[in-house]
Amino acid sequence: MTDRQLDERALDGLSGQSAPGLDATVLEIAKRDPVLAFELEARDAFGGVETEYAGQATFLERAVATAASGPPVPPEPPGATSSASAWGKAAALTATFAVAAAAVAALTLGSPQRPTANPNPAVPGHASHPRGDPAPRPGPQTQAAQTAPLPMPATATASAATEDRRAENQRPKTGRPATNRPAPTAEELFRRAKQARRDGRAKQAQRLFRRLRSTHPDSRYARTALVSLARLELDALNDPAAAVATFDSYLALGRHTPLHEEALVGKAEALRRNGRKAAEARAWEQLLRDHPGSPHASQARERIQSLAGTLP
Amino acid sequence: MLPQAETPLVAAPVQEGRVGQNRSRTAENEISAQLRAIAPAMLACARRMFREVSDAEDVTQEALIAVAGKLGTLRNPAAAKRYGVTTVVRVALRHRKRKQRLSVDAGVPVEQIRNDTSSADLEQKLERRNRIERILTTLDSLDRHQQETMLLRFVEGYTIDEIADATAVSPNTVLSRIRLAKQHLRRRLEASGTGGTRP
Repeated sequence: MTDRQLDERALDGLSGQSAPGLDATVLEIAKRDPVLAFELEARDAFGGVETEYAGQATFLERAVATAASGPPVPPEPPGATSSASAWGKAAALTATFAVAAAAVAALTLGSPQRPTANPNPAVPGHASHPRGDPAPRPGPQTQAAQTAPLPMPATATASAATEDRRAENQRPKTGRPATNRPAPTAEELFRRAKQARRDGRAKQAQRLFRRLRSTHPDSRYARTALVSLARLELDALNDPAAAVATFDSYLALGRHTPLHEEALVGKAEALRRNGRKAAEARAWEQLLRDHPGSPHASQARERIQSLAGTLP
Repeated sequence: MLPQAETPLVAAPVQEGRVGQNRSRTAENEISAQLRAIAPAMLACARRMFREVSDAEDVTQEALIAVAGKLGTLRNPAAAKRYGVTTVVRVALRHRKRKQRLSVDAGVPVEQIRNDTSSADLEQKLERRNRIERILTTLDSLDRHQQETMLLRFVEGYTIDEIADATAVSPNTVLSRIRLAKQHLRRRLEASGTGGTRP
C-alpha cells in the first residue's frame, strides 16, 4: 500500500468514527498516533461549526456585487492557461500616461476592458499620480507569480509622503536604503486602512484610504475605498463636508455601482449634519428615484416630508 | 438620383462603445452569477476558521475580490468552488497572522455567540471554538503551504487530488506537504506530551 493510500484510508476511514464516540476513539488512537488523533480532532471541531447566521444573505449579496463590479485582473490561477509574465508585458506595453498642466496625472493599466482615464476625480486636495494597479494577491499561485510592485514615484502626494515617513520612523533601522522598499499594492493599502479603522485609528485610516485613492486610482479597491472613506469622515472624524465630497466622488461613477444606494444614503446624512436642507432633500429624492425598493425608502420619505415644511 | 445619407463621423465609435459596455456588463453578470454560486461555500469556510463574524466577512470579501478576476481563466470552471475555498483558506491564514502581529485579542466572542444562539448549546459552541483555536495555534508552527494543505484537509475534507487541483501542484507535492507537516506535528505533539489538542 502506498503512502497516499495509507493517508487516504487513515483519514477518510477513521473520520467516520467521529461524533458521539469521538473522545474514546481519539484517546485510543492518540496512544498509537498523536498526529492521527490531532487530525480527527480537527475534522470533528471544524465540521461541527454552525456557519449560518442572521444577515448572511445580505452580506453575500453585497460582497458579490462589490467583487463582480471590478475590472478583470491579470490572471494566474491554478489551471490557468496564460502566464503572469505575459500579462506583465502586455500591461507594460499598453500602460499610458496623461499628465495635465495642473500636474494631475491619469493612469491606465493595460487591461483591454478598462477605459484609459480615471472615471472619477480623486478626493479633493489629493492629486493622482501615474501608477499601475497590481493585481490583488490572494488567489492561489498568484503570490509566487506576482511581480514586484513599482517603487513609489517622486510625484507622490503629500499625504502619501507623510505616511511613508511615519512608516519609515516606525520600522527598525536595517541599513537598507528606503528607496528599495516596494510601494504597497492597492490591496495592501485597503487592508491596512480597514484594520486601522477597525482599531479605532480613524486619522490613519483616512490617510491610508486617501493614499490608496491617489496611488491606485483605477483599482477596484480605490472605488470601494471611497465609500469607506466617506463613512469614516462622517462617523468617526465628524467632518460631514468632506464626507459629502467623497460620497459625490463615488456617485460620479454612475448609478449602477454596487454601493450607489449606500453612498446616496450617506450623502443625505452628511448633508443633514451639514445643515444643507435643500441638498439633503434632493439626495433623498434621488434615492427614491434610483432605488425605490431601498430599505431606506421610508426614512427618505419621512425626511422629505419634514424638510418640505422648513424649505423656503 | 437620391442623395446619399451622410454618415456621422462619430457613429461608429459610439456604437462600438455601446457594444463594449454591453459586453462588459454581460461579463460582469456572468461573474456575478458564478460568484453567487460559490460565495456561500467561501463564507462557510471562513466562518469555520474565525470566531468573529466580522473577520469571516472581511476574509470572504477579500477572497471574492481576488477570485472575481480569475474566474474566466480557470481551465476547469467546475473547480471554481474549490478555488474559492482555497483562496479563503489562504486569505484567512494571512488575516490570522496579521491579527497576531497586531496582538488583537482573540478571546471568545461570548456576546457574538450568545446573540447567535439559544443558550442551550452556548457552552458547546464556546468549547468548539476553543478547540478550533487550539488546532489553529498548533498549525501556526507549520509553514504556509503545509498549513494551507492541512486546513483544506481539515476544514473542507478535500482529497489529495482535489487539494492538488485547487493549489495547482502535483498530488505528490500535496503528499509531501502532508508528510512533512505530520512529521513536524508529531515532534511538537510528542514534545508537549499530548495526543491531541485537548487540555
